[in-house]
Amino acid sequence: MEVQRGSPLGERLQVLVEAGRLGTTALEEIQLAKIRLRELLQRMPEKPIIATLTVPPRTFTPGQLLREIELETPVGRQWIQAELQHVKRILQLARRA
Amino acid sequence: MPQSSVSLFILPRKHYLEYGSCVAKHLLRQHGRGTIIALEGDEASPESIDRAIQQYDPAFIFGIGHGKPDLYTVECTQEYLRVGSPREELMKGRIIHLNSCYTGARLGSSLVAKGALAFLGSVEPFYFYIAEPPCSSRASMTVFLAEHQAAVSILSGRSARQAHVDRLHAYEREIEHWLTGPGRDHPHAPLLTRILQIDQSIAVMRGKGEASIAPPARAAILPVQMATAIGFAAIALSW
Repeated sequence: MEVQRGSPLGERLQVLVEAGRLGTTALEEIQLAKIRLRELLQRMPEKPIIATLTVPPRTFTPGQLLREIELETPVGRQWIQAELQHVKRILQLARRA
Repeated sequence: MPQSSVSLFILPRKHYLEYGSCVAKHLLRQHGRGTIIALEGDEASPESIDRAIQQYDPAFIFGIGHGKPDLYTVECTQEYLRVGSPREELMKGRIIHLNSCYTGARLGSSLVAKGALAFLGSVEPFYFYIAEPPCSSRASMTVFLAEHQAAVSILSGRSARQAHVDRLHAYEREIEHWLTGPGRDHPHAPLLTRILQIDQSIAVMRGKGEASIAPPARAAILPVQMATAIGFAAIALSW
């Protein structure tokens, strides 16, 4: 389940779906991505869940990843961009349905 | 002239690398072609890799490891390839696929400039899921099933560009699995789709897109004794 039907976030996304866009400004889109990622990560248990093939090797708990996203570090920006692409994918699916 | 029917797989295990290495082995068992030298765990060391390249002269080298824009490391994060190091010359005439963070940003282009035929890699951090043990589930394998599709395609004789496209399609299949397919009810399905989305978006191919290794006969055999005789514990997988 990507977005709960009837929730404030769901209704906001529905408006955007009907308008065929994600937000009016890039800043609004980033805020939307952050909200969605917060909703996703806050529900997860706080244990290492993701690793990277970086030097040095890194692991992230959902909370650690969320901090990167909130601070818009390079890692956080990567996740925000991915979230925007992901939402666009969902919008395309919704239009096809 | 590299041997078109020979491939080298560098499969370290420590520092979470078992997650990728076990998937590569799984895919090799299913789709391996020609003669494959697999250096696993402690054998995925700089010295063993150099010896394997000199002895077998593989046309295709696939490596898992931790990386930086100018660095690829192997078991225990030992440095193996660095931009500007003499070892770059060893990659001349070969197709290289490094499953590591960032190496597509600088190292890949540098290897191509030094004579590697083509390079496949990633330009930013490559993420994978560690909430379940390595190869214990589709979730723990998913990003590697997609990323390693490029290696499977190279082994089957497809060009570097085709292998890159095959890899992107494999990411799409994995995303679909978790988004709308049988995996959609997995508790971490939304997270897995994001990880796949990122890893797909950072996949790059450098060099000659038309480069390929000749599709080898399935019956090519490398005697295991030969590998043992030269003093390193290679696993010779032949099909």
